[in-house]
Order: sequence, then structure tokens, then C-alpha cells
Amino acid sequence: MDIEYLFRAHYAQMRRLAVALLHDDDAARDAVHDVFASLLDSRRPETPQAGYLMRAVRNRCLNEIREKDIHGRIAKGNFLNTDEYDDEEWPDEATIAAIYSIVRERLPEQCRRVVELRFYTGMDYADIAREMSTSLRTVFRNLRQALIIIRNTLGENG
Amino acid sequence: MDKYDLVIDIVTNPDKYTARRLRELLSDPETHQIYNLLCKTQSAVEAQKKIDTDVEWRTFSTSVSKSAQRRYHRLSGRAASITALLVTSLVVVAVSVAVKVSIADRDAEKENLQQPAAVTNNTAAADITYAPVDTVDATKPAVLFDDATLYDIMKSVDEIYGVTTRFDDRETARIRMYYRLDPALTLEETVERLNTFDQINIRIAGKTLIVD
Repeated sequence: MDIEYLFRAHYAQMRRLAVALLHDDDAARDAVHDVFASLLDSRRPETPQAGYLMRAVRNRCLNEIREKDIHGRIAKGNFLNTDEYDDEEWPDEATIAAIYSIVRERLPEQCRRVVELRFYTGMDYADIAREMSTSLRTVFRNLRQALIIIRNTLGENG
Repeated sequence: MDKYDLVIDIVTNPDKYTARRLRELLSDPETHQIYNLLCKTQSAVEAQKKIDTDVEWRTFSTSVSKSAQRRYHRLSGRAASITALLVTSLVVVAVSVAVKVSIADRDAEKENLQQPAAVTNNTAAADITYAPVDTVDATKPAVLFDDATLYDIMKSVDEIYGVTTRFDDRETARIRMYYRLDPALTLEETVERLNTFDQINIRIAGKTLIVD
């Protein structure tokens, strides 16, 4: 089994899945690394395919989420009930693409900036307010507006 | 405060609320939907982050080498320490060789590189050939096991697929896990899913499932 080849072929996709579930870069990296480390320790002679690797990282991430109490899940933006990840088949590529398209193309500039600073850069809301030279209240108002637009647009598109 | 403001207040100040109060507030369908949408929006934006696979590979391969060295350095006694020093260098070489060993079916793997990068929940076909099981029951609901032993889960697998499980390792039978058993899947698919868990290795031998 050529671990390096497997790693280079599948790491990015596995990492994106882990981040989408855990919302934590370090935890996501650890989850994916653990899957590859277990392959090195594994007795299985077969070379795993993408589906196996994606399921393995998904299972690890869901197990980690399951360990958290409700405050822990809310702090990390996890679903409150881990069944919802299966029920909603989350994350799914189509919805992710749809939401990101709305963020980039439909949100007013200030709303888009708040969303990207918060979720891409990882800034907390107080830092976002300083960065945008505005009040925390305005930041929350922009976030609220962003959610309304995303929800309404997704609803329009079915 | 409308439901949007409520969700924003919950995620920015979760400690203001007790666990019970959070469950009450988020049991409202619309509030719950807005909360989930916020989580999904976070996923959608995070999915755009750049990933440097070269850097990640260096980090991973270094951590694997260090882990191998640590295992040997834990041996007690001076003699063991001296031996560990000698063995460590061999281990590092062995790990380096192990990660560079070529796989037989490189062409099949190259096909995967052509697929666009995506965050997806779709499953691929199993890469292991088993004797096919013809019948699946799409009418039975999924069975949820919460903190159940693998032994109990496999009893249900036996009933659903008409097979018999044999545990070669009693400790494996006692592994506890959360698992959603879906009768709509084939036996091969179910076994493949279970094999994604650590410490679980199940082989199909005719009508017998062997758990190592």
C-alpha cells in the first residue's frame, strides 16, 4: 500500500469533509491523519478506495461530535443531533455550492464581509467589528441579514 | 427578539443559557432550521479554504516517524535505551521505505485524481470482491445502535442477512459503538462500513462473517 500516493490523492477531499463537520482546522487535520495512521497499522492488504476513506473520516468526526454536550456543539457550530448528519446527508456538495454562491453573489458587501471574516478567517465577532470599524450590534445585524437572504434564496430555489 | 436574533444570541453567548433551555429553544422547528442553516453556511465558506497537500504530507510523515521513535524510547532500563537508539534509526528507515512502496493497481488510483475536489457524502463501490448477496430489504427501517457492543450489532446483521458471525477475538466483540444499520444496503456494503471503524476487521466467507 503506497500511503504517500493515497494521501496525495485523497487528503484534500477528506480534509474538506472533516472541516465541514468539525469546523476546527486542527481537529480536522487530526481526524484525517488518524485515518492514514490507522491504514499504516492496518492488517488489511487491500488498497482502500475513496469511498472507504471518506466514510472512515466521517465516522471519526461524528464520533468526536457525539462526545460533546450541547454547549460544546453550539460553540463549534455542530448539529445538535448527530442523526441529522445522516438524515440531511450533510455535508452535500450541491447545497454547499448553492450557499457559497449566495454568499458571493447575493449578499450585500457588508453582510458578505462579516460571513467571510467569521467563517473563512475565523475571527471572533468583536474583532470583526474592529476590522470593519463598526459596532458589534451592526455586525450581528449584518449576520442576521445574511441568514435571511440565504434562507429565502434557498427556499426560492427549492 | 425574533428567531434570527435568538439564534445569533445563542451562538455568540451559549453560556447564557442552561442546557435545558437551549434544548427547549432549539426544539422550535424554525429556530432549529435557522441554527442548522448557520452551521451549513459555516461549512460552505470553510470548504473554500486552500489546502497545501505537500505541507500536510510532510507534517504527517514526520509525525509518523516521531511516533515510531517514541514507542521505542519508552522501553525501560539502560540496556533497553541503548538498544532503542540502535533500533530507532532502523525504524525511521523502515517507515520511510514503507511509505514509498508502490501499489499494484496505480492506474485505478489515477482515475480518482481526475475527479473534481468536492465535499461529498457519496459512497463509492467496494474495492474488495466478495460473493454477492442477492437480497436486500429496502422496506425495513434502519436500526440505530447507541453505545451497543459489536456483538449485539452483529446479531442483527446475522438476522437481516441470514448469515452467522464468528468472533475470533472476544475483545472485539465487546467494542462499544454508535452505529446505524441500514437493511437497504447489501451485506458487502454493511461489512465495508463496519470495517471503517478502528479495530474492526470483518471478512465474508460464504454464509459466515469472521471478525478478527
